[in-house]
Amino acid sequence: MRLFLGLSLLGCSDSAQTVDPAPEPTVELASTKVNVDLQFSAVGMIRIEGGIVQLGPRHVPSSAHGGGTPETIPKSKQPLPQYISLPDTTLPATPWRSRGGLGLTPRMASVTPFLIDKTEVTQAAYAQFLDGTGYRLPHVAESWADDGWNWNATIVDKDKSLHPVTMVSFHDAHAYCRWRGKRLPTEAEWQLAALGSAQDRRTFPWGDRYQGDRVNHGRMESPNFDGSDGYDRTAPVGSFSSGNSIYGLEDSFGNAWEYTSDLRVGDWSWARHDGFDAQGAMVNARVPGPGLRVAVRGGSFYFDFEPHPGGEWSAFVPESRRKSAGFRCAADVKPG
Amino acid sequence: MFTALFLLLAATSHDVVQVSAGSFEMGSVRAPDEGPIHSVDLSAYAMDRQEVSVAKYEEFVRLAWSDDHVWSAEGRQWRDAHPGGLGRHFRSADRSDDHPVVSVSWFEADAYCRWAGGRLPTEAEWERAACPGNSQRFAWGDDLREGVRWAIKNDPMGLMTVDTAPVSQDSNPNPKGLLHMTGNVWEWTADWYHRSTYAESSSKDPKGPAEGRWKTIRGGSFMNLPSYCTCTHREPAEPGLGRLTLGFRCAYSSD
Repeated sequence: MRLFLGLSLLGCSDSAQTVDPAPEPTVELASTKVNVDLQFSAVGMIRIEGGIVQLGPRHVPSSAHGGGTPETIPKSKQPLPQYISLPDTTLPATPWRSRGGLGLTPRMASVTPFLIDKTEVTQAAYAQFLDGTGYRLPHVAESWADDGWNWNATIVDKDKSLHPVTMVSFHDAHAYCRWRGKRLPTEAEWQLAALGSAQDRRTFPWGDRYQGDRVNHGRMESPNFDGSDGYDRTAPVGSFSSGNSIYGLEDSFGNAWEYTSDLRVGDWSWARHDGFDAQGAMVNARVPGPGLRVAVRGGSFYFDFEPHPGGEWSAFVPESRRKSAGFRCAADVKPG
Repeated sequence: MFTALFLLLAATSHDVVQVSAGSFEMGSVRAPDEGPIHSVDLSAYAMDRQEVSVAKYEEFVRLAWSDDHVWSAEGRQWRDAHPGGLGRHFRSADRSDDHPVVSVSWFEADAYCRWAGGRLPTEAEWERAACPGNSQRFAWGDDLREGVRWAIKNDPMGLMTVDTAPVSQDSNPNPKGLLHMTGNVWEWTADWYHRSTYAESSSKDPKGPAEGRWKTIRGGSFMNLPSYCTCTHREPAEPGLGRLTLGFRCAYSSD
């Protein structure tokens, strides 16, 4: 299956659609309508019909550490977070003052239908972009980066071709998605695709409890690499299908951090949206640039989720290239 | 006396550094797109000593924004689609107006330089002016110094403001007296970006690829590690977009 997925990412296999077992009929999961779109599965994208997510720091159940405490309150009985009503936005005087969003209050956001890549962008796919454009190689002139991270050519090792590309900046990710005719996902879109809607109440893509064998993770102690999941560093995309989200999104947690299109600011007053829904959730919330930090989600092979179950929520400076930072693209649903 | 006054005015409106005609070794071995190192011969030119300040840029917007003569055809299209400029809310970014302007697109930088009687520097002009010592890493030499506007951590959690220095204040000028060539803000150049530019470029007054999707920016910024803030580091940037880390200075042909 992985082979065919790879071929379909390279856009050279019409048979992927019939061989790849991934496409599934529309199913109803809890409150969320799941529709894996057949047309777009062939190019590695999933169609998501929309939903409501809670942006910002999320409630983390006490059972998230995977150990013993069973939940005492049935999930359906837990109160949903309060919607916070904000007036429509005007630009504040100093939006560039940023603490990386660490002080953000929770905020409800409503997402309309969109498409998102099923997997992180692979090294093979990124190499096509480099060959097609003359764009800059993923390369940093630092000694740590010479330890197998830097690219010195567009030829990808066979055993790395289906690994996620890392060593890319937010600007690099933006450039790639544009070249593919796509765009980066908003943070709300990413969260819906990875964790489901607010009503789904998931802490991890697969559920509520941390399970280290479902995600390519790291560990707290230096040097942070952890091979107990089978991979010290990145893994080929789709290697942890038991960690897929309810939409079938692969490796949303672990493997590589993923850039979103949202800049992080200290409050929501800079967020743009298409209005509010009946409950006051911002419709298609986005925090456009320029900004000093960009929202990244999902953690990486270098990140320990167990003590930080909600800590896959972070922000990087948009210009740095890291060994743990990659991305996937999204796209609008074409009308008609 | 009138002559002296005129010279004084000229000096304050165009504080430039003259670069005489000559050749230098362009590029480095530090990154794939910085090589091969090759010999480049440049005609004489002048460069702004300082990055363009918020004050100067706003003066341009007041006086010449609607003057079609200073905009290229593409620039006029871009301008008409972005009334007041891309970053009109962000150009000063909560700083005083003697700091470098940021959040301007390439089209805006190009128009400003035409208005000022110059043009954006080519990559070769920028690099030769930045590092007259050829093989040095930074504008002043090879050593990591205090007081440079760059980031010493890969992800500076403390970064909350556009942490630039005023364009006229630089404790580490380069030997020609140019300020903030490395660090402070990235600077737009005239050239399109291609990672293999140097394999094919002309050795006499090279002007980069004939076309492209991204312009090259140079010099690094307050947000970047020193390894990004070198004389030779090259970065692609979409010409229609701006960044809080990106400004420019102008060059002037000498004939």
